[in-house]
Amino acid sequence: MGDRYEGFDEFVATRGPALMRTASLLTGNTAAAEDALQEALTRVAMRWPKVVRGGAPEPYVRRVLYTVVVDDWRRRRRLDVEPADRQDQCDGVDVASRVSSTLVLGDALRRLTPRQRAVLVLRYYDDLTEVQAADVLGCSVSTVKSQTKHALMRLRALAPELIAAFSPDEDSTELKGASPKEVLS
Amino acid sequence: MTTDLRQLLDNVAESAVPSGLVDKAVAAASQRRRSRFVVSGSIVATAAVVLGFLVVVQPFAGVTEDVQPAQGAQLPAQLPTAKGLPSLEEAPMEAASTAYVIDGEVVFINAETAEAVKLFPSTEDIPLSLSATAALSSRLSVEAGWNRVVLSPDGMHALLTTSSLPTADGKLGDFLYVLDIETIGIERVPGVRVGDDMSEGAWQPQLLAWDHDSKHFMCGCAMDGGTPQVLLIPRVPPWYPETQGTGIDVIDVAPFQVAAGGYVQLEAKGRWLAADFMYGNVLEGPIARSDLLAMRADAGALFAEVHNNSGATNAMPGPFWSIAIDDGYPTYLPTRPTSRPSWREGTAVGVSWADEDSYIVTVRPAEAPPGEPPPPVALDVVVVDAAGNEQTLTKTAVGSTVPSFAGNLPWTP
Repeated sequence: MGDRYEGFDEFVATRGPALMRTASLLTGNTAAAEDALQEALTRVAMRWPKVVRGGAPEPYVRRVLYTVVVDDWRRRRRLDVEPADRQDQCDGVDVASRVSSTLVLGDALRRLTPRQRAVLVLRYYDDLTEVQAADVLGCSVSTVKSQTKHALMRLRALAPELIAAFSPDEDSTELKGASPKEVLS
Repeated sequence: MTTDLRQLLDNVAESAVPSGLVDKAVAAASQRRRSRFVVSGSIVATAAVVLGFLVVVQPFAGVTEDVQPAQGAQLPAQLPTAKGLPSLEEAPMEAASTAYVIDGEVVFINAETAEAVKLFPSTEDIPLSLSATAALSSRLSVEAGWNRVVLSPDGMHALLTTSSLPTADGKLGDFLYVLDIETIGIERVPGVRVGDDMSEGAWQPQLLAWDHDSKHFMCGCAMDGGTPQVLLIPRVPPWYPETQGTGIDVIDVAPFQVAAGGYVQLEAKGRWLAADFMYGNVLEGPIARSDLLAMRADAGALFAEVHNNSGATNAMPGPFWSIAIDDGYPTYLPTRPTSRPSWREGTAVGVSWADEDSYIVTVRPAEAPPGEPPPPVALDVVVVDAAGNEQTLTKTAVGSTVPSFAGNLPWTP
């Protein structure tokens, strides 16, 4: 690998698994996550010297990864293509050795809309603020808030056994009264 | 909740990175960098591509044109369309050497790194992570696009105008924006409207150009159909304009584009000068700086905008004239380096400052087929030096093109 990509290999080796985790959560299946991560890393590689000069590259890489994933949703939506995560709901994460709660959550996550899943991942896994999540998703902060509420409500409906994990917080109390049927509609 | 959910999410997440990911990413990145400028459709390299050309523009091997690019200028032999280019957000650029509008989209090229990007993925997409631009682009429809770009001398900023954006009062209007290329921050300059929406109190720019320092830009503006004025406007808010002159007053600032206003003229890296092109008048001295180059157009492309906007008459194709400034007085060069039809489809061609004593014009090629309206062709981008010698730098793509070249374009005669 030429000097242009110096440190890129090490970066991927070190941070690749963490990026892959985010990618898999955002996309909902392993194959789409691998594609998204490769595309993101390709774009980053094109700019690698500048990215490195800018200091810590991971925030930039994550940003590109978000962009890749959300671009894919939009493209699929324009082309009226079924989201990849809906095509292989039975594929994806190998959860044989994991606890049942993980199985349940994985299935529930895949049944969220891409945007709902994204707000959860961005807010509760990548620790982005509402403002940052809105920026990434190209929507308003209020949309992030409402999507978060609906995502949590839907998770509660889809996986009631995990209710403790996503019990109502201050953001979602006003929606507590909604029935699972309403939430799923 | 956060902790529990985070833990659950972590359990669900897949962390196994596919093998060979780095190699694939690097290979794809290298391939994209190489092919970034290759114009689709131009797949046959011709024998006219000489060895030196290949060395200079290796990233663009695959273009067929026999254009001899300027030494050191990493420009393709033919400028690409926006199709297939990464967006500025995907491939950030510190500065651009060249910018042009092609069919409503803006393309930036860094001639030093041989990279090309477009401003947005498309006008129907809201760019991600561009909160400053989201409000703008979300209002862009497919029909509305960019229609003008003027790159600053440092290549870090651009003036952009749009067409057909809905205004707060429900009308369609064209607006002026200032873009920071590195941060992709974009802000609309209030009080300036382009196009036919002659709202009261709104300036209508007939020409736009940057000052030397890239901290101010010039706007040859008319308000409510009145006498055009030349305004000096800071690049950053609050954009308070400062009137530099009206009518035929000499404007003591330094633009980088030949004006289309019919009363303003360029000295390369010099001053705004008064000249009434419409009646064939030339400069009147004395002029403070000597050894500079000025140019004018005879009822040609440089008049197109003002003529069309004023409704006086349609522009007529005409030759460019070059004028050398000697001892403070203008003297015509013995040659007319670009004496050929210089506009197409009613759109003014571009003229930009390139270097200390040279400038760039974009003209119809001499061999272009005639017709009314002129058939679309790839326009020649020509560098003209102080002696009047010209060299074709590149060609535009066929389309509705408005070019703009920054002062940092590498150019060695």
